[in-house]
Amino acid sequence: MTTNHKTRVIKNLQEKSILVSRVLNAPLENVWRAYTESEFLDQWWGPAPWRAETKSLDFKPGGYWLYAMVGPEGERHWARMNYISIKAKDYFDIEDAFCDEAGNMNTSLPVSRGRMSFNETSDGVLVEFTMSYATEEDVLKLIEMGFEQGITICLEQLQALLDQNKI
Amino acid sequence: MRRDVFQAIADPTRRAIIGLIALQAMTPNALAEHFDTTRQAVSKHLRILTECQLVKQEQAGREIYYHFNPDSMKEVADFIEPFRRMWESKFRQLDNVLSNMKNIKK
Repeated sequence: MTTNHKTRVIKNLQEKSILVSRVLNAPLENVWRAYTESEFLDQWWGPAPWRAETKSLDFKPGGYWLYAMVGPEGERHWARMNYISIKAKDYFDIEDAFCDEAGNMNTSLPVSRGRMSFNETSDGVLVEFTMSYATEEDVLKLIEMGFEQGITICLEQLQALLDQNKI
Repeated sequence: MRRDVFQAIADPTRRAIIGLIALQAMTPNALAEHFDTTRQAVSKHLRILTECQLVKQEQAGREIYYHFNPDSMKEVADFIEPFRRMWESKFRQLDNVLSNMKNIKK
């Protein structure tokens, strides 16, 4: 089933935050599992052509998800999502950081704190991801990194169209 | 032709320069150390970035430091578009995951 739900991104440089929101057509129970179980996260968390590969996931306050973002050439960028607090099927608070394979955090890259929240609406489940940063520069740095990945996605899509002789 | 922000960020080296000075102000020499290119080439990129007001120069003693100018980005609302696209791509994959979950009755 396809949806025409829009992905909204709102950046707030004054509050040093970025909000990403989207409505999903699925029961809240399933959305919650897709966000909190590695079996499902590995299938969607990496934006194509990247994919996420879980090394370990311990979903509880104080626990963390250690995973690699695997690129098209097989390159790996390790990341960990620390779970700060959890209210089942309502929200969970996280800390997002870059790290090495053993999970040791790299503090020279921006660390973001965030909240994943889930709300049932008449249209479906509204998911909101608010990321907060220490400085305005960190916000821009993250947008810059998203920019790089966005470019990769655009090129991949162009290549797919070319391969199908649509251009 | 007037230089605009999109022209400035179309070049990967210039995007990398923005990424570096967004974290901290740097001198041209310090920047050049990060790239496998000449000091002159880095200066040319900095000149283009300055013309587009993406970076600002500030004199500190003998050295010129280049700062990132976040105001320039506020004017370019579409700069966030690729970031949105990245999330759109993730959510499309999530739609598929959720749709497959519906088909598995527990």
